[in-house]
Amino acid sequence: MSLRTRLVLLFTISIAVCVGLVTWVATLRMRAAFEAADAQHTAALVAQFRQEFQRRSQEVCTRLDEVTMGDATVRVAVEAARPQPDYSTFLDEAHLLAEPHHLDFLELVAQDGTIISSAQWPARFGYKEEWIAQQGERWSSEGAFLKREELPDGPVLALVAVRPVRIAETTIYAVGGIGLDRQFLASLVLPSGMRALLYTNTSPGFSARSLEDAGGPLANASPLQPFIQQLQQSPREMSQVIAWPHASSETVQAIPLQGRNNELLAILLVASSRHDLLELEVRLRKIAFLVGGIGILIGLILSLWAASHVTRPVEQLAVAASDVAAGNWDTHVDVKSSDEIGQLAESFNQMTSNLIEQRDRLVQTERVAAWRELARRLAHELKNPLFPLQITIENLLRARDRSPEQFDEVFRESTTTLLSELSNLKAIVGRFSDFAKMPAPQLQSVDVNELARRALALYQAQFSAPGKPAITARVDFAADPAVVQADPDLLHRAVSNLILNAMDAMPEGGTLTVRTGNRGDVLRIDIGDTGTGLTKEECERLFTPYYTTKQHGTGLGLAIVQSVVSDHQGKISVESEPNLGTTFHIDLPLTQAIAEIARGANVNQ
Amino acid sequence: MRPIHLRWLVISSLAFALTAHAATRPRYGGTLRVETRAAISSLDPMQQPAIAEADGRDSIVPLLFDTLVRMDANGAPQPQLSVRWQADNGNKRWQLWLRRGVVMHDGSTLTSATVAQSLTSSLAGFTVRANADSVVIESSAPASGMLAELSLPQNAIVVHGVSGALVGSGPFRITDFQPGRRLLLRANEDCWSGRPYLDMVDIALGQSLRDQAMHLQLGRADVIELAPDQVRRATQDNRRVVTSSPSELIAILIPHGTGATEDPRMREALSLAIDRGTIQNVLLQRQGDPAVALLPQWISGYSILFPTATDVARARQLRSQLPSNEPAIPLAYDPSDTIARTIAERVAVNARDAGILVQPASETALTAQSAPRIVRFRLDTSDPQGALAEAAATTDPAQVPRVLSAKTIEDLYQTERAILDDFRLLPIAHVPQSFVLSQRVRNWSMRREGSLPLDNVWVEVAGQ
Repeated sequence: MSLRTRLVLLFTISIAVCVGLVTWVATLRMRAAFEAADAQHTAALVAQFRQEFQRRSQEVCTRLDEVTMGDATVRVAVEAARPQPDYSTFLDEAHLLAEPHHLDFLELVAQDGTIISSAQWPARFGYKEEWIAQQGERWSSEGAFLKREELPDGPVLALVAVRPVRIAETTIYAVGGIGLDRQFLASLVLPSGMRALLYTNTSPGFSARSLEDAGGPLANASPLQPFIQQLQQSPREMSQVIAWPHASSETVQAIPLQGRNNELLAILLVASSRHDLLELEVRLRKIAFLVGGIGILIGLILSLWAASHVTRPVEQLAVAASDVAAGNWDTHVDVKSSDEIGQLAESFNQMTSNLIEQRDRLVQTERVAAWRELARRLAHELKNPLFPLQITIENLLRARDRSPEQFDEVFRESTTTLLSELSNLKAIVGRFSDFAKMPAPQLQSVDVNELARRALALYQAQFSAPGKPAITARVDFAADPAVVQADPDLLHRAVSNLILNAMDAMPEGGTLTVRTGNRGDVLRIDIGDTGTGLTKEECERLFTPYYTTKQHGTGLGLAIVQSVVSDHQGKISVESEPNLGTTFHIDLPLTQAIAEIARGANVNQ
Repeated sequence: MRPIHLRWLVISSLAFALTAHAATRPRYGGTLRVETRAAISSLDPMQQPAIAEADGRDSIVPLLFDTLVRMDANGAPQPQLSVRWQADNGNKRWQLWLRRGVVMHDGSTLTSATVAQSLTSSLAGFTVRANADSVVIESSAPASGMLAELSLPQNAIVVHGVSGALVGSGPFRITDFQPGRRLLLRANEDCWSGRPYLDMVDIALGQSLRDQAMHLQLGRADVIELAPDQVRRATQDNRRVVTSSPSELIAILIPHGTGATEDPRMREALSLAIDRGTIQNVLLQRQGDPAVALLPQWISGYSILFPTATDVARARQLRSQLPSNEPAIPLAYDPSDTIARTIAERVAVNARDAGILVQPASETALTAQSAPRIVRFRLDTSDPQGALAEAAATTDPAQVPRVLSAKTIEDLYQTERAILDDFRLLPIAHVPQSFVLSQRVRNWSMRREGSLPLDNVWVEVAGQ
């Protein structure tokens, strides 16, 4: 992955994370604020409920007081005070009294608790409500309380009060109240998004029919079941978030409603819709996505710009470094910034300039050294034949002066020697001339295995020449056809040179190994010996022209080999371990492109 | 006191006496406006409508159609269209001689063939033959209660006219009949028992008790019905209340195939749980009697043999023998009948004491024929045999032949016991028929069985 891509990714991810973090924090804050507001609304509603409850309790007491003070109730009380009261005529009395006093429930109860008349359930006359009689006159000071009122269709929740009516020594009771049902819920003024539900605790378990809101029983009460069961087990105020299927969730605050004996009669549930919160969250998330998307886009553009701004010089530097690595030292990075990148580019340019200068100086030095070496070698090479020539000519001159009779013989001998040495000189000059005029390779398909085999065959006789230590030739050719595009004569000459060098390196005999093999896109030719090996310094200078480790070498053999290999776009290297031997590696390219390059070179020549 | 004063006193007394005599002397003419809850759809006594409608119809039928015999207040047969009768062959063959010169509403004369044709339609299981000036009724089983049976309204002599009109021989003839709404009757000038005093009787059908009370108050009605629980209050209000003997039975009828009540133990438990005394004392405002028998004491004389005491402990014991998860027993009532509704609710409360769940519901919310329901039916005769036959026809028709064959009151008791032992009919109370009359109505002589005694009634007509 490129630096630019990494930078872009880094910038983009950073922006996305930042936007996400901001959104998350905003959502948390908003939720906290919403829940605080929701809690306030709920608390207000609960307070309203309590206030309404108190108000209605007061109303019930007031209405019941009016009932007890009415003539009709007094008539019933008077009848009750008779020795043998006849209550049958008062069957409808409670009903007649309840309506004008706006009471949903009203019962007139005799002193012993017997129901004289019941508005809500007329058929219950004659039955006893002993709990009323037990309290006696103390009812006067008691306010309204919650009670489960039995009706023909089942129990309902009622807010009732009891008031005694005393005539002579006899007391009757008026028990009246109002229902706490959906109408009561409907009377509560609820803020938008809130609703009140009432669960009438008529049975030990959960009953879906007992849960209703202002509109009637809930169609699907099951999500509230665990919450209500929890409240049934431990009645106390608590809240819970309820998730409704196909609707938004609600925060539900539960207020247990208990009777005179602390029995759980009902549960008021104040539900606050989380729809607004969820909608707000969704909206915020959308905005976050939008802002995030725009941010990412802008970030992407900015990061692309910034990355390009930062990485372009780096890329230029990288390209320039690659050029330098490839040998193109005359590379210049055009960076105009004054920051670290600019300094780096300037340093790079300075470095390449220095390198070029050093290279030029080195080339100059090398060239001088080469000329010196050439001069030394030429002097050395030429001095050897020149000295015999000088001696021979001096002998010839001395022979003509001292013994003319022997001059002819000496002359013949001297001319022979002179010719021989001149021939030697000529050969020396020819070798130098040959090196100077290395021909361009004529490429064709060459089977390297065959070529190496033929080269070995030339020296086969010398491997086991009498009087000389034997050399064992070992070949390890590639199984696949080792065909390269090469000039067979030049390559043969290079291989022969290396074989000859190997033979020279093993004066005591040894093993000469010739190995070929494919190594990716190159063909490698290894020619190794088991001779005394070379030092590191020798290895470094081995291919320098006119450098030789041999007493009678011209120092051109390996230079020629390197020249041939180089002309074939190949590489030659050497490995050597003292006392173990030396191995030369020739890598020749297998690609067709090499042939084309070589062909191009020929055309240029 | 001076003589002049004495003269004036004598003159004034004579004038008052004459005026009073004139006011109490029957007068012909006028229209009597009667209102009833019954929404009668047919006047044909042979048809069998719902019980409430049949009761309303049967109180009107005697005004239009005559039976061969009638039962007097003591349950003794009296001549009507037949003047004498004779039974032989162990009460399997009855011969009744017809009254001569009876003119039907269409002007025709009553014949034995007409009577035979009418009775053949109404008397199932009997062979009726015309025989000159008499008809012969034969049965395979003894029918000692034949006269009582013949006195029932459903056995009135009716001729179906060519256009489907119903032709009778009663004191009134039909002028206009709008089923369920109005029935207008006109005096039968040729009635064999004499022309009634009233010219017309205008009967408004299907009127609620509340509307009836309002119409009486506004002077738009002369005779209205009164629910038993309103009798005391109406009397206290000095209304003209007339009341029959307790001739109407209020009961719970449990048809076959009604779920939990198919088990006789459940039915018996329900019967034992009902506090009939309190229902009669409070709900019915002491009108009528608590009932565990089909026939009231004043008709049968043996109803005291049926114990009325509530036995909740026994009811609980019976209930405990049944599965505890039985569903609530629906108890239907006529939504327009407040007495039926309050009784149903009280029965539900009583049943709860025995662990039986009863759910009162209006007939409109239930299929009346398939659910236990509160029924009220009037006994149209004071004869125990006829009354029991009438009750059996409503509750257990298979017992009718046995009722008619009863020879002694002991037989009737055993038959009634057999009917009730199945607990398909749970009597609750016998209540009287009560009416409130306007000040115009005169000479109202309430019959014990509660039918409308319009043949001798006359009304004060303005200007007379």
